[in-house]
Amino acid sequence: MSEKNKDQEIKQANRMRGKKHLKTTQEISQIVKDYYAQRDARDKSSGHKVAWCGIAVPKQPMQAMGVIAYYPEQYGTVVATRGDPFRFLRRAEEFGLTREMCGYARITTGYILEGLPEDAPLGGMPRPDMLIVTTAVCDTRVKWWELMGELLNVPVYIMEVPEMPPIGRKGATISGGDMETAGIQIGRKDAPHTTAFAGMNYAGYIKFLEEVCQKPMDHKRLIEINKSAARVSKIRREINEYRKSIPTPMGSADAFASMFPGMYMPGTPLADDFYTRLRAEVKERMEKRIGIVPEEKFRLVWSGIPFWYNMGLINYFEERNGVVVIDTAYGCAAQTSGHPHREPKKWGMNGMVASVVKAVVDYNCDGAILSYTPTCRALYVNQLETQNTLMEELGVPSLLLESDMVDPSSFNEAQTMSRIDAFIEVVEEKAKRREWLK
Amino acid sequence: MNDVMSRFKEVVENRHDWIRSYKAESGRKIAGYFCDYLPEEVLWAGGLVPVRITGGRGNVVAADRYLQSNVCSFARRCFDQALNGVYDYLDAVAIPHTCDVITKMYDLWAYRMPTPEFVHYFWLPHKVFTKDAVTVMLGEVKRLRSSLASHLGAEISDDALKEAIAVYNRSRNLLRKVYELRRSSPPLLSGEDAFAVSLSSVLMPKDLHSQWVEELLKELEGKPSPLADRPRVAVAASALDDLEIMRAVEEAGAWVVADDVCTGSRYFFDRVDESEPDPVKSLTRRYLEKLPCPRSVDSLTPRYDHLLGQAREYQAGGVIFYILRCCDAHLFQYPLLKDRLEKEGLRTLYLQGDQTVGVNEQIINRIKAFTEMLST
Repeated sequence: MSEKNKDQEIKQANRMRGKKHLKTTQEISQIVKDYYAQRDARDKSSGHKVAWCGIAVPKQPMQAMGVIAYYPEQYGTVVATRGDPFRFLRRAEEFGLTREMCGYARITTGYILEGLPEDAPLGGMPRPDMLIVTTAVCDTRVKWWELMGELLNVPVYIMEVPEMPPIGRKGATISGGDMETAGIQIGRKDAPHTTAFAGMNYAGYIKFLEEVCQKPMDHKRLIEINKSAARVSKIRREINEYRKSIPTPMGSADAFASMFPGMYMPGTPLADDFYTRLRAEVKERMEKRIGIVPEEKFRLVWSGIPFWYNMGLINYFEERNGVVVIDTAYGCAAQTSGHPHREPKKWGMNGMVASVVKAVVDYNCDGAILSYTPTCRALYVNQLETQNTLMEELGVPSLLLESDMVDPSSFNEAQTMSRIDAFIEVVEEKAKRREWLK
Repeated sequence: MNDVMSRFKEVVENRHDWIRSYKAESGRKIAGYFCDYLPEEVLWAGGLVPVRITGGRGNVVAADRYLQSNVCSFARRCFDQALNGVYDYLDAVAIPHTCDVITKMYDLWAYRMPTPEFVHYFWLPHKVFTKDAVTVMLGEVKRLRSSLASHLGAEISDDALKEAIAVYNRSRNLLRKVYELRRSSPPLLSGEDAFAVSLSSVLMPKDLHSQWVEELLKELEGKPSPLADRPRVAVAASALDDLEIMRAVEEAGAWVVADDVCTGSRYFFDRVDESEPDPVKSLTRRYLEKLPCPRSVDSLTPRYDHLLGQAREYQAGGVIFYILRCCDAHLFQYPLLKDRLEKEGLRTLYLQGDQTVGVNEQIINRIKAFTEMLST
């Protein structure tokens, strides 16, 4: 690609930045910057170990051990939103990772192969002492983490979490807890060995941390951090509860931006303070009936990973007086579930489908945007089934939007916008006849 | 082609018709399963004939409503055929958690297919070589046994399991002998023929298959090779359920003398320990410790050792990788495996696989160029 084309692509990426509506969420950018700038992570004499860790690995044990964690998936979003993803994507491709493979993995692999350059966005992730991932969410990460382990020559721990489908052929009923983990069900009653195995893997994770850090786990500290993290979780669920209101006081444009402290630093005073203030702001907006748009005409659910280089896409619905109210990939759990006026016949065929069906009902939505990242199997293997189930059970329309989560070259702006415009017309009609408000 | 070889090929080419007729004639029940990690012996002990669910080549139309094109063409083809009624002869289906996509096959089969009544999900650990994996795998082997027994309304005894293990081990020994016929130069039989024997073993009952293999061995062993000397290669592939690639390689002028394929050596190389008194334990160990699919943790070194060992033993000068588009487990491991093999002096060729199309001219030309390179 020529330098001119590259510049244009980067400029286009900047134009596509999302707009946040709330006051508190404006702080996020600085929080992320500060996290990457932590001196202790870059100074080996600080005594702090660094882990590169997969999303859905419990953070609290690392916090208790003083391990500073960085998240390759999250770093993929940083590169996609703040820098030049092509630099690393190209390098990974030269190595042999093809374009049909996970964009996050390609960015990180390219970053490693470039030698962890300091001029990477936000200074890059500091060199790790260990790599940790879980099999929850997707199997691909197992291979990705093993590959990073080979390239970086550091120990890898893979925490296995047996995800079991519901028993028999009936639709899954999923608990609030499962909703919080994006519908993932760990173990099953008729297979207690799978639940026990998840426990063994958690114990193995603690042991691994102790070995790499060469010190025992401070269990008292871990309990305290777990308590703080549970409090942060509770606050986040309360915020999501408020988001059910019509008009919604906070949509997904702000929610995606604000997930960083909850996902990556859950047991910290900073996260607690941030979400406490965010909850107050959301509550106030709810009480004063301040919405995201002046007149909320339709409400949508977002399922799947957003296109990080184009968060402005979520704001586009607002120009048409609609709001993306809630998303299901990053934990949309509210405190209460179900809607008294409209119970679906079944919750779909597995947790991931169910989480979208449930979000549509709980949040009074009129349609769903199903992002479809062709490089991701685990999250997207369900999307067509989600689309089918939404229509069969609720008569709710949905739109599959195709693009990679971090590779802007896969995004066709004109085609996407015209499909969105057509979809909005369908949803507006649906919203006029919204059944579950009656 | 001799008579017995034509029978193996008939099973491969007309697998569904063949098993339908077999079912009608024998009255035996048929169980479908995915991948090479499911302890088939349990199904056999329950009186079922296990057959691998395969995709074959062709368009995907019906399954397009459920699976996008970023799902591997093997899975899409399998489910497409299921929706078209091709698998309506199955009396049971068992699906292991090998990768995200095969796991999804369970969801789709359980919720979208009216038959069969018995659809079982088998959770398989990734860290197959660890001590902890043994406990969870034991639990899953037991659960498969008990849920099948409860479905059948009859107990599956230890003796029945031991008998099944004996039937399967016999097949494994025989298939090894067939593969070993390619040790000599020139080989005693082609790679296409050897693979047809192995592939047919997952598509028909083991007892009958072993009888046929014995006939074949009797015909071939100790005889001079009818074949000419050619460059020799190994094939490493993700799901490979037809003869197209083996045929294309050999038509291009090489012999396929070894493989790392889940319907080939990876399927039958490892035996179950018959000296272990508890058959559930011995099955558990065998299926965890077998030659791994790349989906398993720490599978790079055993796969490398296997491929390099086979290449050395069978004098292969190159390895052809045939990896289905979107098969993440293979794709992530490929750069490292290729690099290691090349460091040992082996030449490699990467071919992108797709079961919705045939082996096209472009692939054939690349194989030809590779074969020519090996001759120099």
